[in-house]
Amino acid sequence: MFVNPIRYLLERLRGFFGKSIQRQLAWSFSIASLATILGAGVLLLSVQRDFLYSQGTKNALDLAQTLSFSSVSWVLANDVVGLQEVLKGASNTTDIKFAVVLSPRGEVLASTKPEYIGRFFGDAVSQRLLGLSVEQQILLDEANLIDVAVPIKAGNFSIGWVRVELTRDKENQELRTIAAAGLGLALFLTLTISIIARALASRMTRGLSHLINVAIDAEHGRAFQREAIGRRDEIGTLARHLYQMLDAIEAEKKAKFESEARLRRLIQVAPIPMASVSKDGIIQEFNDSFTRVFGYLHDDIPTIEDWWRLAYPDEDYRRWVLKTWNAAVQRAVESGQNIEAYEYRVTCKNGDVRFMEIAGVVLGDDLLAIFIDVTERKQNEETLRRYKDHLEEEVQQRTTDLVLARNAAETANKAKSVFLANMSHELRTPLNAIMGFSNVMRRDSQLTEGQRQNLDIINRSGNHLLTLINDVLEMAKIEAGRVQLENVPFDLGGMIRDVTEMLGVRAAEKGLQLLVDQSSRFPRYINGDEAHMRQVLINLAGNAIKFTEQGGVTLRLGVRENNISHILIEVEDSGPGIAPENQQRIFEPFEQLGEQGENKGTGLGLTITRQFVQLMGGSISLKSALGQGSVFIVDLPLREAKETDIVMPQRLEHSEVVGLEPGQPDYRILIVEDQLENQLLLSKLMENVSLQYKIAENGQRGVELFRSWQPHLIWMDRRMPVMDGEDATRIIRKLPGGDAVKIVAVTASAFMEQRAELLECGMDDFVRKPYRFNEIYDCLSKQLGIRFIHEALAEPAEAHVILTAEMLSVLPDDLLSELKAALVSLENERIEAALQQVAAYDPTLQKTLIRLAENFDYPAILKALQPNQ
Amino acid sequence: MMSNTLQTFIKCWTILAVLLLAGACDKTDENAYQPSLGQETQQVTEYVVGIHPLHNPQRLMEVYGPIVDYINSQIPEVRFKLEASRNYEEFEKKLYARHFAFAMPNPYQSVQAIKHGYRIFGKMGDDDDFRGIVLVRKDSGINEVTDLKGKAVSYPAATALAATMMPQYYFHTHGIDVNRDIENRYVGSQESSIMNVLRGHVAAGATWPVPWKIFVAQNPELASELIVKWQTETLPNNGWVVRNDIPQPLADKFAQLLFSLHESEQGRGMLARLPISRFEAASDETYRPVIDFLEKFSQSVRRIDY
Repeated sequence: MFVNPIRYLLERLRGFFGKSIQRQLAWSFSIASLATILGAGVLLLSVQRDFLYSQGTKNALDLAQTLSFSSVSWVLANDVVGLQEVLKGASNTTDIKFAVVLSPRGEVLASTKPEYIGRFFGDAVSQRLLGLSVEQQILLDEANLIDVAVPIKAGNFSIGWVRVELTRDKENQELRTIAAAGLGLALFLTLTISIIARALASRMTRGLSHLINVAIDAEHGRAFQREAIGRRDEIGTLARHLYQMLDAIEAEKKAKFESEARLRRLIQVAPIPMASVSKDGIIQEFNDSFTRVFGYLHDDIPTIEDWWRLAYPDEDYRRWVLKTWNAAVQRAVESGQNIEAYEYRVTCKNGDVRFMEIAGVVLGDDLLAIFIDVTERKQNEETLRRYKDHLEEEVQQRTTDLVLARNAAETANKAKSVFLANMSHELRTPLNAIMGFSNVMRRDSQLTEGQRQNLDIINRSGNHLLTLINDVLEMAKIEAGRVQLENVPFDLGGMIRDVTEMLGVRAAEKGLQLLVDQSSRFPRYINGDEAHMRQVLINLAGNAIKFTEQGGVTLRLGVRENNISHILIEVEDSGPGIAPENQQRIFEPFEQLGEQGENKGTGLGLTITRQFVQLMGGSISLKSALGQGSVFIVDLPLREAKETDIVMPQRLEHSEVVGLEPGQPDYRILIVEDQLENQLLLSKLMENVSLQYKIAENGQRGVELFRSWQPHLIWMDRRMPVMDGEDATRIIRKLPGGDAVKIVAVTASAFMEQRAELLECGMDDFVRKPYRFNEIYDCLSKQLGIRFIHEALAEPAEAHVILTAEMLSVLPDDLLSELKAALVSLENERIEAALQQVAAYDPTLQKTLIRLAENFDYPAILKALQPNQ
Repeated sequence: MMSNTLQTFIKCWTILAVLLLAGACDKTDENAYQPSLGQETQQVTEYVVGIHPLHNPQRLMEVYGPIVDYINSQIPEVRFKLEASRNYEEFEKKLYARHFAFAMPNPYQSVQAIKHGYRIFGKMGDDDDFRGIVLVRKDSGINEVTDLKGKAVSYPAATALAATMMPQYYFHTHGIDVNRDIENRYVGSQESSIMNVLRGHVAAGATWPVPWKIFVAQNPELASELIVKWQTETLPNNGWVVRNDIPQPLADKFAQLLFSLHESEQGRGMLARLPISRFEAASDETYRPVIDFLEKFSQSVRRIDY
C-alpha cells in the first residue's frame, strides 16, 4: 500500500510532539527563536552584502573614471610611459586585479600587469567591450570580482578605454566574519531560549505530571498524595481547584452513599411493595411489604424472568404485561421521566390474584418497581359500577314515566288552551251582543234616567266580564309561553299621559288625587312593548286607585343608572297597606286580600303584571306596611329610542259617528255572520250611517251574494256552519272582482296570532269581538275611505251638574252643618272629612262636591247649603 | 525518560549548529575570471599622423581629429591615427625617430625632418599668419622693446619658430640681448605662453597669430587685458611631411584630400577651426627662407641645429 511519505513524516512528528507538553513547548520556542534569529541574520547579511558589493562596484567605476581622466593626454600623445605612470598609482589600490588602458582597437597601451602591455585580449568579455557603446560599462559583476570599463574621451572623440577589475575578496571576507558572528549569536540566543523554554516547560509539566498522577489515583479510587503546591501560577490554581473538586466528589460520594442507605432503609420499611432489578434482570432486593403481599421469597424469584413466569402464569396475559411494561420502561428511559403506572393482575404465591398498579423509577442501571395494591379499589369500583347501572336503569324508568306525564300534561295544557279559546269565543260572542245592544240602547234619547243607569250596570258588568275573560286568557297565554313581546320604539311619555289622564278621571271619581312626579331624566321615547307596559301601568295604578279610599296615588317616574340604565316606576298609594306576610301572596294567581266589595277583580292582575315585568327583563317589588300605604316599584331595563323612530299612531276619534259625509259613492256592505245577535248589531251599525248592506248566514251564502251583489266590503265572521269565513274568503278572492273587494274578519278568537292566518287566507283586516262601534267605523274609513260625520265630544255629565239645595237635601242636618263649618274654616282636611261622609248618602253628590271643592268653588257649595240651613 | 529527552535535545542542537556553521563558509575564488591574451582582430595598416604641439593634446584632437577622420573615411583600406605630443621635445623625438608616417611639423622641424627621411609635400596656407607676436598686459607700462630689459618673457618652446625664434630675433634686432637682458621662459605651449603674460608671471609673452585668434575668440574678456605689442616678419607656414617609406600613391592621396579641403563646405568648416583658409602643395625648396632665417638666428641669437 502506498504511504504518502510527507503524511507519514507529519504523523510521526505529531506523534513525537503530541506526547508531551514539555516537548511541544521546548521545541516550539527553540524552533521559533532559531527561525526568527536566522531570518533576521540572513536579511541583515543580504543587505550588508548588497551594500558592500555596490560599494565595490562604485569604487571600481570611480577608479576607472579617474584613470580615464588622467589618461586622456597620454593616450592622445600615445605616451605609454606616461600612461604607465598614471596606472602605477592605481596598482596600489586594494583588491585590484588589474587596470589597463586600451586603444579603440583593443591594444593594451598600459597595464598594471606588464605582461598585458602591447597585447590584445582575446576572451569574450574583452572582445564584447570593443563593440559596446561609448559609456561606462560593467563587464562582470560576480561574487568574487567586479570588472568595469570607462571610455577615454577627448571632447567627443573616444580614444580608448580604461578597464579596471577588482576582486571582492575583502568584502567577502567581511561578510564571512559578519555571518560567523551572527550565527554564533543566533546559536547562543537559540540555545539560551531553548534552555529557558525547556526549564519553564519542565517546571510547568512537573506540576502537571503530579496532577495527572493524582487524577489517575483518584480515578482508580486509590489514596493520592496531596502534594502541597504553593505555586501561584495557573498550575497552582489548577492543583487547588483539582483538590477542591476531588474533595467535592468525595463528599458527594459519601453523601450519595448515605442517601442510598437511607433510601434502602426507606424502601425496606415502605408499606407498599417495592423491588429493585438490575440491568441484567437480576432481582437485587425487595422489601418486606413485597413478601407480605405476594408471598414470594428471594429464592422463588431470583431473576425477573422468574417473576414474569410466576406472577403472570397465563401466557397471553404475560405477553401483554411484558409488552406494556417494556414500552413504559423505554418511554421512561427516553424521556427521563418515571415509568408510567399501569394496572396488572399479579398472581401471588398462594394463588390469589391481586390488582396492582405498577410504576417505577429508572435509577442509573437499576430499576425500582413500585406496586400499589388496588384490589380493594377495584372491588369498590365494581360495586359502584353495579350501583350506577342500577341507578341508570331507575333514571331511565323515571324518565320514561316523566315523559309520559309530560306528554299527558302537554295534552292537557293543549286541551286547556283549546278550551280557553273555545270558551273565549263562546263567551265573547254573547258578550258582544250584550254590550253592543246595551250601548245602542244607551244612545236612545227617550230612555229614562233609571233605564240608563240599568244599562250602565249591564255595560259595566259586561266590561268586568270581558276583563275577567281577557285576564284569564292572558294568564293562560303566559303559562303556555305564547306571549310575545314587541320591541319597537314608542312614546312612553305620551302613553303615561294617556294612562294618567284616563285614571285621573277614575281617581277624581273617588275623590282621590293622582299625582305624577316625573324626574327630568325620565326618557320620553323608548324601545319596548307599549301595550304590555300600558297594561302594567294601568294594573298598578288602577289597583292603587281601587284600594285607596282616602288621600291619593302618586306615580313616581325616574331613572336608575347602572351598567345599563333602568327606568323606575313607583306607584305609591295612601291605601290600607299590605301586611308583610301577604306581600308575596298578592302576586299569586287568584289570591285576593280582604273584602274587595264591588271592586272584586279576577285576582290575576298583579300576577299578570309581574309576569309581564319579568318578561320585559325587569322586576317588581313592594314596600308596604299596614295602615301606611303601599309602594309598588317596577324596575325595567331602559332602551332609549329617538323621536324620529316613533310612528305616531293615528289618534282615534272617540267622538261618536252620527252619519256619512255627503257626496260619497253608495257603498255596498255584506255581512256574513251566523249568529243572529251579531247580524243585528252590525246591521244596526250600518243602518245608523245609512250604508246599504245585506246579510249572509254562512260562508257559502256569502259567496253567492258576492257573485250577485258585488259588495265593496265584507264583514266576515270566522266560524260559521256550512262554510267558514276563511274558505269563503279564498273562494271570493278567486272570483271576478274578488281581488278588489275588501274583506274584514270579525272574530271572537282570543288569540292575536290568528290574525296572521286570517290575513294569509286573503283578508284585508281584522276586528275582534267584542268591538267598539268606532272600531267598525274606523275600519270602514281605513279600507274604503268612507268619511263620517262625528258628534262633538260631550262634556262629562258632572261638569254640567249645577249644585242645588234639593240635591243636598238627602244629607242629614248635622253633616250639612259640619260641611258648612268646614268650608268656612277653609281647613282642607276638615272639608275632605266632611265630603267623605257624603258618599254614604249619595256618591254622585259627593263627586260633585269634591269637584267643586277641588276647584275651590266653596261659594257655590255654601250657596246651595243656604236654603237647607 | 527525562534523560532521553535531554539527550535528544542536545543531539539535535549539535546537528543544527554544525549545519549552520557549515553553511556560513562561503565558496572559494577558484573560478575567478582571468582575461586571456590574443591577437588583434582588426588587421588594418595604421599610419600615425603627428601634429606638432600647436595646442594641448585635447585641443589638438578637437581641431585635427575631424580632418583625420575625414581622410580615414576617404581611404578606408588603411587607418590613420592622429597622435598628439605633450611638447615639442616629445614631438621632435618621435619625428626624428620616424614614428610618424605623416606629420605637420613647424617650418623649423619641417626643415629638420628632411634630414630624417621625410619629404615636404604640403603646407598650411595663409603665410601671412606665420609670424611671431609679442603680447603684453595693457597695464604693463611697456612701450618699447627695451622696456623688457630685466624682465621675463614666455615662449612655448625653444624650438618654436614663429612663437620663439622669430620674436627672439625681433628682440635682437630691436636692441635686446636675448641671452642677457631678459629671462627667457619656455612654458611648453602657446596657451601657456599667453596665460603667463596674462597672469603677470612674465612681462611679455610670445606666440603666433593662430593661437592668439583662438584665445581671443574663446576668452574675449581675458584677451582684452592683453595687447599685441609687436609683430615679426613672416615665414612660410607649418609644413606637411611624409616619411619616405610610405607608398607614393597613398601619400599623394593623402595630400590630395588635404589640399582639396577648402573646396567643400565640410572641408572649409574643418579648416575654419584651425583656423586657416587652406592647405597647399609645397616642397623642400619652399622652405629655403626658413633655412636662411635659422642660419641668421643661429649666428646672431643662439646656436641651434638646422
